[in-house]
Amino acid sequence: MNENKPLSAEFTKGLLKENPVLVMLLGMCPTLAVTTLASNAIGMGLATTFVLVCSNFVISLLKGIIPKAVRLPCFIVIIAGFVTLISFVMQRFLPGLYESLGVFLTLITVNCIILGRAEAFASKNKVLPSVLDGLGMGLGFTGALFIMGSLREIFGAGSWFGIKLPLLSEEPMLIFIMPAGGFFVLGCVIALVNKLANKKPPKEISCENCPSAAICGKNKDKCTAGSEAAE
Amino acid sequence: MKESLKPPIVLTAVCVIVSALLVFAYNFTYVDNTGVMTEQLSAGCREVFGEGEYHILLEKDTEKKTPVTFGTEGVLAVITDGKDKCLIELEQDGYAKDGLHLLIGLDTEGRIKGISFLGIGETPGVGTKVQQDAFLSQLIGYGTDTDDASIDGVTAATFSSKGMKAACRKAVELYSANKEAIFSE
Repeated sequence: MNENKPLSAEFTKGLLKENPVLVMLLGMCPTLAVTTLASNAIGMGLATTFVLVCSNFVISLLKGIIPKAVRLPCFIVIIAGFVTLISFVMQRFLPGLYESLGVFLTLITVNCIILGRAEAFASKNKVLPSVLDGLGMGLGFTGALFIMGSLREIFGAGSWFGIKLPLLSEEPMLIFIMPAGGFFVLGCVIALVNKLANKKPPKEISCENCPSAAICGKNKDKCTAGSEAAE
Repeated sequence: MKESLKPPIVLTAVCVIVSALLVFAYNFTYVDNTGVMTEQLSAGCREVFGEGEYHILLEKDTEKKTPVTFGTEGVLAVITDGKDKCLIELEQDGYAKDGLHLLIGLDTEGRIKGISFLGIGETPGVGTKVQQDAFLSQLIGYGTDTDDASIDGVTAATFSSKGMKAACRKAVELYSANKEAIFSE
């Protein structure tokens, strides 16, 4: 359905315009949980990007074979397969990161960005746009996590990628790495992005202001893309 | 009839293919480190006691490499140099489950000589403060007769501090109860 759009648009839309974290507000659980350190945030973001690209690729390949009735279970099995793969690889080659991500690595399976993109995009589009969409969304997710992780680590722990910073490391503001600080930082970053994008709050709920409008068919009566993906 | 059969067949096929590929991935990436002196463990031993020949105590009567744990929960391995040095590798709950992965070195009197962190899953900046010298130095010399209340915990890291003390208690008690068995080899 998006065949007229240039391929580069599929890639760039995930970075800011339809950024999964900062605009669509999906995937909040890893966003708040693993962003206490910048390095963890990058690791989590890249692992998610890998799963997103691979699952989008496979699902767009199989979209003609998988019957509609069992599409969600099939998607989840494929996604879970890639998540297990990345956790095996990480346990073998990056044991430190594996330990600090802990249970949140396996929880990528239920990250609503991945199932959301599979259901809303990959199952309706060709292979190449789906891969680019996955890559863009994944890097947008990584970028958002990296900003969050950097801010929280710099203010909360007084360091950046483990490098101690002068002044801040003497009396770090612990609140930033506590759960509450995660919400503060997320709110401030979203506010900043909205300011930069010059986005006004919607006067009425409509498809015009919905970041998912491009993929849901622009039908005002059946605006379900957001609510489905959010589940 | 054919239409109603297709969905379960496709779903089963997807599950089987994904599982089969994961079996390959598992065999390719999994390395069994149980009972093996890894580089990380050796480095931890050197950090506590300096250079030396360290090895893990293994059960004798089994084919597989099973580390001796003297039936203590959380203990992963007991390491010695065969003479007078003993290190105990264990995992202890801090604020996170099994958040403290430690290597505790004990001297001949069963007192703690040094603690090396093999992994820490505690809250960064809060629970991880138990790694600081101000707290760790209190644990040096810890023995079975030490009163836990005499050791000041880290403010805001109560669970991590308690976990550290519990780990030390486990290590010194294991040592005092099994000293002969550890050095009998």
